[in-house]
Amino acid sequence: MARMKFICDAERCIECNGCVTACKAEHDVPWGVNRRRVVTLNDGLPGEKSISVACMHCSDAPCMAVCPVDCFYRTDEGVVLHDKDVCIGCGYCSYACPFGAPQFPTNGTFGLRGKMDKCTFCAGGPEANGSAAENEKYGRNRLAEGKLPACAEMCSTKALLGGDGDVISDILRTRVLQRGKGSEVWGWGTAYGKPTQGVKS
Amino acid sequence: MNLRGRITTPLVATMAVALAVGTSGCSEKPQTASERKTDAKGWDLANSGSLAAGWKGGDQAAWEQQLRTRAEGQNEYPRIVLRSAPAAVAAAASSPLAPKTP
Repeated sequence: MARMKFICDAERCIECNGCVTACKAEHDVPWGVNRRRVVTLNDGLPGEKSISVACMHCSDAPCMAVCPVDCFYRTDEGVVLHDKDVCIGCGYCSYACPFGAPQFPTNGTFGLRGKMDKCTFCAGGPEANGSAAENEKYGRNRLAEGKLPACAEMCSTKALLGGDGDVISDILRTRVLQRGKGSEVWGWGTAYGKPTQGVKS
Repeated sequence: MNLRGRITTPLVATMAVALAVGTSGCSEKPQTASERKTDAKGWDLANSGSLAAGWKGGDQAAWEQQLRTRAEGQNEYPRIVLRSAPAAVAAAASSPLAPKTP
């Protein structure tokens, strides 16, 4: 079994936040916690780029390295998960993560910090697959149902790819070969003008 | 034993017991780590009403194939580009950058 990975194709992402919504709805993620977010660079300027970001399920995960109670583990498929019964909510993982993936539910005026919550690649947690306890703590275990993460499967432009790293990298490679780069990319000329437009001879 | 002794001895004994009971709450609790839970294998889901169509739970090989098929389903090129521009796809496939995996 290869490693499960996400790839977000910045040329295709249209910042619709469909992935964010799919994730929130699928797992009943509480208010204030975003397991997935869409980040836009150069917003409103020609050539702006958006990318959907969540836990990248790192092969050498910094969150795992810094956790003082060792609540993280990695599945055979390379998905980084954690045990909320062991987590103490210290927040070290959020400082270590370069993607801002670990989230902490808060409530009350002084922001009481709860146990860490993050993208599970729709693979649940250490409780029995598909159990009510797993669903309550980590959300739905789609992977055990033979499905891919809801965010990737719901992506309308297929900018967000999820699944076996070999398969999705092949898909992206084929796209790049097909569409070219920079102003050769499909739709670029329509949206931003061709390189020759506006040049006075 | 005089009267004073008869009064103070049980009093001291009672105080000693109370002190022992009272301070026992200050002793350290055992700090042995609870047993780590082990997660079930991803394919180990025999009973669920939400299994993907065409797949039976509990079969590792079938599960891996199911996920692979679904991942490949994210590629719309076989559905769209192959019909419209087979030559372009053939050119891409023969490129040195073309994927080597089967």
